Amino acid sequence: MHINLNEMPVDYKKYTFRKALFIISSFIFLVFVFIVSISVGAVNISFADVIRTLLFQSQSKRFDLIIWNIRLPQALTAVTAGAALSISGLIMQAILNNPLGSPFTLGISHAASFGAALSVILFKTGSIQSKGNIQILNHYLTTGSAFFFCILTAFIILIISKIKKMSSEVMVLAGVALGSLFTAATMFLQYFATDVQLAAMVFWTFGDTARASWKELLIMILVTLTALIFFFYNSWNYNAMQSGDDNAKSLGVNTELIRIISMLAATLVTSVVVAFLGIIGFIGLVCPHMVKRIIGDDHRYLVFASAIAGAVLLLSADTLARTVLLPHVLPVAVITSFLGAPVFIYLLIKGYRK
Amino acid sequence: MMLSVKNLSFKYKRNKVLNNISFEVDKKEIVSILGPNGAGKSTLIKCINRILNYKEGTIQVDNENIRLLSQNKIAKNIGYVPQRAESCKLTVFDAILLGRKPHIKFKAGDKDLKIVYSVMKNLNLEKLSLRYVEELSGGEMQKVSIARALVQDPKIILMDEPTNNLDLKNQQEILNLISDIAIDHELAIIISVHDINTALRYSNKIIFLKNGRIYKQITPDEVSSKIIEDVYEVKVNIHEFKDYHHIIPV
Ligand SMILES: Nc1ncnc2c1ncn2[C@@H]1O[C@H](COP(=O)(O)OP(=O)(O)O)[C@@H](O)[C@H]1O
Ligand SMILES: [Mg+2]
Repeated sequence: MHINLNEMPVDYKKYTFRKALFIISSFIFLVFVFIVSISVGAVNISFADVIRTLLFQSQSKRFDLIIWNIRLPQALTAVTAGAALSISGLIMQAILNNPLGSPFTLGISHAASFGAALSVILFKTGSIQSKGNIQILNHYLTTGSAFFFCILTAFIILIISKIKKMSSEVMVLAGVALGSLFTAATMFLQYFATDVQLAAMVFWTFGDTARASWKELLIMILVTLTALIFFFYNSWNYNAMQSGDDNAKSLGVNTELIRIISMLAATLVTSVVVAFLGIIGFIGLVCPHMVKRIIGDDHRYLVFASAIAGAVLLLSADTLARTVLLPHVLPVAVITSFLGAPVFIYLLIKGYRK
Repeated sequence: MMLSVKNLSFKYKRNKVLNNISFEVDKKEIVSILGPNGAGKSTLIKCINRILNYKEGTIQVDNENIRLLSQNKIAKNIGYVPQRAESCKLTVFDAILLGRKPHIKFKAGDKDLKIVYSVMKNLNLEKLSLRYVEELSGGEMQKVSIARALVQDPKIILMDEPTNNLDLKNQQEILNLISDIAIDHELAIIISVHDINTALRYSNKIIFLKNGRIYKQITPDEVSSKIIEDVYEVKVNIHEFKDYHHIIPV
């Protein structure tokens, strides 16, 4: 056998180029959805006016107010949260080598919600605003508490999967059990809650993107971007782990370390999003699957593609939630559950088998 | 010596699977590991590139103690072909490209792509290049695993039952390939096999494992019906045909 270094695999180069093209075009689509999302609502604003306002060319005081104070932060929140939940799901699927992993199906979202609610009761970190919205007073304490319970759940999942190689079904059942446990614990807290605190409980069970302030948004963006870069940097490792731990180790991957650090990162991202917005289900499960259908299991592309798909899906769902029952506004979690649950059942029935 | 294993013992939790194993393999050599199911063949192979972390004994690759090497450094020296590869939705090209991972910092360069392409052509895999691994047959999958180990550019290749589940033609093809690469690339190759006749035909040395111990280390022409009967507990006859010994159960 002779290794000849003259020939370039042209077909493969074309193939990777097509994947890159797919990512670029979906990003352009995201920008389009973003502008649509900002333009529609109780007051419709033309695309041109949206774009001009975003480029700091003020069109009218009223538009400035609507766009800069309401619609832009909400759209950015949807984009960030969608990307965050989607990449968390993707990475959980990769490191558990299990196609049904995601923050929601593993009960990690519920744990975060419980942690945030607990901090409101214990440390009085929430207060009610005149509009009836809950305002988080201490971000670090609230997310910290959410993160703590997330980690706890994540480690339980990791330990179970280490002791016994879990089938997908068993993992989902374990997730459902953990999820119900935390939901029950949240309900238990309600007995000790004041009216304000009670409102806060409901806050976390139905995720909504309208809640985030600019400060919360900034924290979310920072955490999500860091995780995105970290996951992208490790994409070769995740690819190797798709063919089993033994294989990955033989290719030089420190599987235990990668698994724990990646799980921590995915959990941190989830807990920040859930602490600020509440539980938004199914994004982390559905988006990576949609993308995998198109570009396969290659994490060098999947990380960014999933982030974009998550952003597009949550932003579209959010826009729908704001406009479908005008003048009433639904929490976006209602829409994602209506969309996500059928896909989840579909995956359970056929699509996910490796 | 390319590989030397000294006094290796290994246990999973409590049950001791390998007991005081010692042997050596030189470059261009093919060593077969034989033994009944559960004898510890896979376990031994996984200890050699530290997929399993052994506590007792020393393993040296090209005179370096692998316990002192990082997992990535080991991967540069030792390729591994698993007993059963898990399928996934990576293309054949990408699955083989993974073998370059120990050498790649972050992005695969043109050189890596060229190496992969060349090895693929040598194994007649280029037509499958953009197919997903999960759509391959057992034989094709095995070739992909071997190609991956080859692009790793190692000094040693470990193969766990590389001919299992293959039809006669594929067995033949893979075994000839293994013989060729051992010589051409000056590799030390360790394979575990079930078929004794295959081992007699293709290897330079045969190690019989029984209950986690080395029962005997022989060259193919030293085989006797007593050894086979002791290891496998079946009665056999040995025939000589065209310079090779052949084992036939009675
Ligand atoms: N992960 C494991 N945990 C505990 N025991 C194991 C594990 N893998 C293999 N064994 C046991 O170790 C022994 C040797 O297994 P193995 O090396 O796979 O044998 P072989 O490859 O020769 O058939 C068997 O008794 C098997 O049950
Ligand atoms: Mg075995």
